[in-house]
Amino acid sequence: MTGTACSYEQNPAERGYWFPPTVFTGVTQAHRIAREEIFGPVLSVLTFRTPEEAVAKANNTPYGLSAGVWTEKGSRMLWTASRLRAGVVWSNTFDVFDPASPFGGYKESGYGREGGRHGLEAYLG
Amino acid sequence: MADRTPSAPARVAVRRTYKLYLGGAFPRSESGRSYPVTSSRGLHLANAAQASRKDVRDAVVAARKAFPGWSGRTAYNRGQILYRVAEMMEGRRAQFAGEVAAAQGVSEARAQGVVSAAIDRWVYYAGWGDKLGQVLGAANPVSGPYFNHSQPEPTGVVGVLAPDGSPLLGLVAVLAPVITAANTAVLVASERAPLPAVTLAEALATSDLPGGVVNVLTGRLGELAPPLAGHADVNALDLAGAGGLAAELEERAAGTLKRVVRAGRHDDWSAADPGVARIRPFVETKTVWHPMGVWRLRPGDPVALAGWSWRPAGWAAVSRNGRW
Repeated sequence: MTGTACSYEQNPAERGYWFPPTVFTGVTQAHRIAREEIFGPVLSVLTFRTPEEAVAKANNTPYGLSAGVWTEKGSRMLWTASRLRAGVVWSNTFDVFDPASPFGGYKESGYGREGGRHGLEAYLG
Repeated sequence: MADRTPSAPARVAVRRTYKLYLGGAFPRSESGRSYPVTSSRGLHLANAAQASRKDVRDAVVAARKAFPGWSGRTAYNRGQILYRVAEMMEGRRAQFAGEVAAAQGVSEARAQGVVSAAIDRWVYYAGWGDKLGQVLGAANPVSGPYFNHSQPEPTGVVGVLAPDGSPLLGLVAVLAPVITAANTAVLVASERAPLPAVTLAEALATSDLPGGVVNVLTGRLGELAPPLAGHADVNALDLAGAGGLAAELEERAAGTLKRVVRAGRHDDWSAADPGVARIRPFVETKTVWHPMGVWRLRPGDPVALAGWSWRPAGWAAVSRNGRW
């Protein structure tokens, strides 16, 4: 993984089957750690210079379950949220759920929605 | 010098070549093939282009390229453009009626009725574009200080297999809902009666519909449908005209989790008010959460500040440690 730095506290092999929180920096879109989800406490960090570039990178994937935007400008948040191809967009927050709010993905992240009116529709005739 | 009346030699006929519609252009199949199209009584009508798997791939590329522009327009503007398509169809009424009469073996008057229904159906769907968000969207009453709303958005590139038995009305009934929802389409015309689809393509090209929003392929269903159903850059599939291939195509579509609409056992294309039944499968629901509050986000603030203090007792049971 040329150019990619990986940082974590200690060798995971020393303390059971747990993996310490890990941050990868200098990641590019070509990296497998950017293209596929790692089901662990791992963060792959990519950089961007313009909002357009951030959106293009975020959408360059066959998946689209959720996305997050951090900005203090409401108009920028709405601009970004409208362009992200993901089923849930969290703005200035993350990982919040509610039974009244639909949850589910675009593209290869799955079919249908759970929660909210959209989630109930699947139970109607 | 007096004008000479061109009476003696008969004028050389201008014969129409039935082509594909790809990315706003009318190419022949890259394979150079064509196949004979006959009327319901077996009379030769024309030679239509016989598209290949490569044409399918080219069509998907064109549809993907057109997607950002088409979905980026306002819904109102899409509606205006689709209405313009109906105007262009009205101008080609005689051509449509002739092709419908030949393909379905019906009288001229009956064919005119089918054309009217098809144009009316197009106008019907043109009107849906800027109402979808209100009907399918929602403001969600979540238990916390959030503005939370859901909106329908286009699924992306949709493969459409036009129904075989209704080459104009059925075609419009499956195509119009897909593009009114801001998707782009790769349409495989009825193999037996592709001529109305070619004429529709000519109406689309002379409206303001951007090239690539609809791509029309004519040819053998068995050759075109499998690569379309398996294509990784196609997001959804309408199997209205799949016939006996449906099971195989669904299997291929499952490989990349395409949204699939199965053919109904008795699809009735003449229903005057089909509602959103054929639109809803081709939209995704996007839900946006935004905190409500008077704080100001500063570097160093815990990012989830807005979300954690208010959670009611019992939340963990609902959300299973914060995740579904």
